[in-house]
Amino acid sequence: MIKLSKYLDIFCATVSGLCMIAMIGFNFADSIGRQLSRPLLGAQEAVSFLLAIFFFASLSLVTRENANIRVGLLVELYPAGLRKAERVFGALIEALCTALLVWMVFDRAARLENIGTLGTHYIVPLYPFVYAGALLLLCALVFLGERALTHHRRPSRPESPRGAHSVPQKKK
Amino acid sequence: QTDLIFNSYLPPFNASRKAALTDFAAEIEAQSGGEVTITIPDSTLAPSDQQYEMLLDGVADMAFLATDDLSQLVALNGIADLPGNAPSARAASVALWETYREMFKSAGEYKGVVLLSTHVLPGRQIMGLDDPIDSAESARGAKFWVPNGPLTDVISSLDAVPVHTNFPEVFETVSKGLVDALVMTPGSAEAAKVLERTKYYTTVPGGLGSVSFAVAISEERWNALGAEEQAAVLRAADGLPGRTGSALDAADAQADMSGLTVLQSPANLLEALTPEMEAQIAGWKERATAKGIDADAALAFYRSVLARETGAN
Amino acid sequence: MVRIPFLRKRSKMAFLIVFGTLVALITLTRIPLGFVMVLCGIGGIALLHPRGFDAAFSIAEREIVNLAMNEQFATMPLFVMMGVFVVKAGLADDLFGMAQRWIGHKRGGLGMATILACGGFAALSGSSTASAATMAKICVPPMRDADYDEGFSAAAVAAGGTMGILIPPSGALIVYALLTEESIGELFIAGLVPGLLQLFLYVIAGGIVARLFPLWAPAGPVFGWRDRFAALGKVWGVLALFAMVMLGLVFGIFTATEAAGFGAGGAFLFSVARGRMSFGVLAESLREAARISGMIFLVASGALVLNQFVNISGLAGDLVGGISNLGLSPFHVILCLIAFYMVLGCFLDGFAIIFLTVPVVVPVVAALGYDLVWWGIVTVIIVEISLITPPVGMNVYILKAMLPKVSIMRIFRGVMPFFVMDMLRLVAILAFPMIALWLVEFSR
Ligand code: NA
Ligand code: NA
Repeated sequence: MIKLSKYLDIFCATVSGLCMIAMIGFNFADSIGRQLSRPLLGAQEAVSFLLAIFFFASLSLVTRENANIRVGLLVELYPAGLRKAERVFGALIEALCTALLVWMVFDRAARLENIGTLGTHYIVPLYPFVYAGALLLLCALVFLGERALTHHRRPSRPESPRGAHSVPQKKK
Repeated sequence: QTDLIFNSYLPPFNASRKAALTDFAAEIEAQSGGEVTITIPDSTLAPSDQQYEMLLDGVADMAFLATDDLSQLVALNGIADLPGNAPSARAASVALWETYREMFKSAGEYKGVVLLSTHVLPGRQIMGLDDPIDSAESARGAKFWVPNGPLTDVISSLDAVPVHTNFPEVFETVSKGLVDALVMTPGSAEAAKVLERTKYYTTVPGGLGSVSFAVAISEERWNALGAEEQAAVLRAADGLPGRTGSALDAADAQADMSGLTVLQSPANLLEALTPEMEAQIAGWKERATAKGIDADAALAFYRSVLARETGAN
Repeated sequence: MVRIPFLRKRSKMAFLIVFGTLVALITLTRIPLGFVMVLCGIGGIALLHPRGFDAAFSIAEREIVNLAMNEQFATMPLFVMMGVFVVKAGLADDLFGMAQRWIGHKRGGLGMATILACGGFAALSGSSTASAATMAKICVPPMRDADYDEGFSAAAVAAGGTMGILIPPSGALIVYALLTEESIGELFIAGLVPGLLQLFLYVIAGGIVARLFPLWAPAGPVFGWRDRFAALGKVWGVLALFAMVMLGLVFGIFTATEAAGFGAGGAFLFSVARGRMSFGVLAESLREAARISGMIFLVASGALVLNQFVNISGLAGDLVGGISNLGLSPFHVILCLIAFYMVLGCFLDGFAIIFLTVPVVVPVVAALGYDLVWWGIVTVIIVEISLITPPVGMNVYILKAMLPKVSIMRIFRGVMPFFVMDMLRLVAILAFPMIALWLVEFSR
């Protein structure tokens, strides 16, 4: 699981990074091309495809690095026992939500496939991009599994500074 | 008692919104004696190009479906979008509706929904900004703002440059001098706040092309309605194409044309436009034939209703 | 349209249940905010929609996947990328170095230099927290060496950092644009003048502090002219990049997305030219941009799902009706909304405020006839203030986390002068909406 998760992490990071570079490239080329009366037709649509892949790959990375925005205003005031209960409960809900999200993206892809929606410039079906996004998001579940497995072994992370509720937690 | 969700992506003061949405909804409630009620969400439940699948998913029960968003699924109703086929919104809306009922309905497009009405925007014309577009020469090399779709080809066929931006950015496009002419009606030009910047208005009989809409209800919901409820909805929808078309024409007629020089159907320009316009009609015929329709008969029928309605205007 | 009474009743119940659950989950648990919003949105839609969960999932999926494929939203990750590259290229250090050499030797000068550098960094980064975190590392040590009051120096960075979401590019404005369907470009243009006003007022605040409390802000070391011009020469790139992005937007050469792509590409080339780019740095930068973007994407998805719940509940419309029945003048309603936001801003901050309130508040403001671009700027100013006000002020906490020895009370005390300036600025923008709107009108 841990090894798999390491590979998937590299995979997601590579995909998301390449999409980012491509998006920069398309926009750069289009904005300059238009000044020279040579607009890159279809750049917008290409960016929208890349964006879908980028976001779902990135969302998996967010899960892996445990970097989601959290609030939990009152959690710090809890006694130790309650705090632990909250942690277990929160982790459980988070895992369920992630699974739900993965299912929803797959379901959306299936709906797009059924109805046969095509892009307006490149007349290609949209659903493969959404399936690809869903598969990338599936990696998030592996990362959550890894987190659950390693949690008891790793020395507990120092608590966030008092009050720094929504500071994304960087994994060291 | 039944409540139907009627979705709309149109802005609040849109002419077709009042006729085909709010007034229509009120009429359904009145005709059914309050047995059928309509809920209109404050804002749209899905983007404009996803209205059809939104109906199929049961997220909303009723909605407007634009033909240009369904071009992959629907060919026949595109008859009203063809060059020359929308002399007025009212005539085209009525003609499309009668042709649909007479000849298209049985072909089974619009799977999973039932059409209650259709309407068509007034045919697009040419608005010249500083110079008149009245001949093939004046159009050559000029930049024309066009909506996405077949009009791009019509303009290209004049050796002119089609430029497309989203409708909200038309003002910006014009004020930065990026185009020489617009392919739209005076009413749209006024809505885009560019009418006072145009000087010339070149008319093309029946318009260079248009967009048509269907008012649809999900088939599943339709079948779930009682016979009396269905009858009430149909009574409310009776004459709706004409009413919506008239509202669209009226909105267009409100544009202040005092600053415009009108160029009535310049022969030289029309001649240059003809080959591509005919190609578009031939293309539609091909698609219609593939759907098992007698395309020539449908076109003749559509035009006969147009003639009747424009004569009656 | 007439709604059936029972749906109306259910709407109010559902609204109480959904927002009650939402508040409970975000205060009592640390479940990611985006998930909480998605869950509550789906639950709420299912409660109200005749087709229950079927419709709820269909709507939620559509919102999330449409957002992921929304070309306009590409603006967000691209500007995030630009900010990351700018830091990696060492431009943030150069900004402070320049300001320090020119005015650091004056009394309070290092404080003012901090504000100026924060303003410059804000022109390249769309995030307030990133601005505060980045500038803290750069600005605080020199001020410590010059014997600045630690609370005040931390406060200058915390307050200066808030400019990140007002001076374009701004993540907060992108999200506001997305939720209200306003133009990202126009909102950016509208943020420019109020952002510069903030910069100006903060510099004045620094000057006043130096005069009133000389011990808080003594003079820093003096640099020679040669040094000063050398430092100036290093920052031209920052200024050029920002100028190109802004001029492109104002004159309509770029769409907002292209401006972002251009900015990210430009910042990358810059860091290459500086010799700061290597394969390792690139990979690290891409990963960082992905992490920040993914995190915002999830919360934005949640907000859009919740948005559809508010839409179906018809609540915004009811609220508009209810408020008009109160017989308040539109401006009084605006003042009430601001008071509500200020209270909320004490406990919540940043994106959470925008995500949670915009769907309900903006229809009210629109119905009153106010310009939504202007209101976007007002909202962002209030969010900025929320970042530095107790008890929960994100930027202050970031500084506290980076300077564990400084007491949080001292930072909040140091924030006071900037807070006063913020209130002045808020009053100014309420009294003179043109501060935000004139450049927009010029660009139209
Ligand atoms: Na900024
Ligand atoms: Na606060």
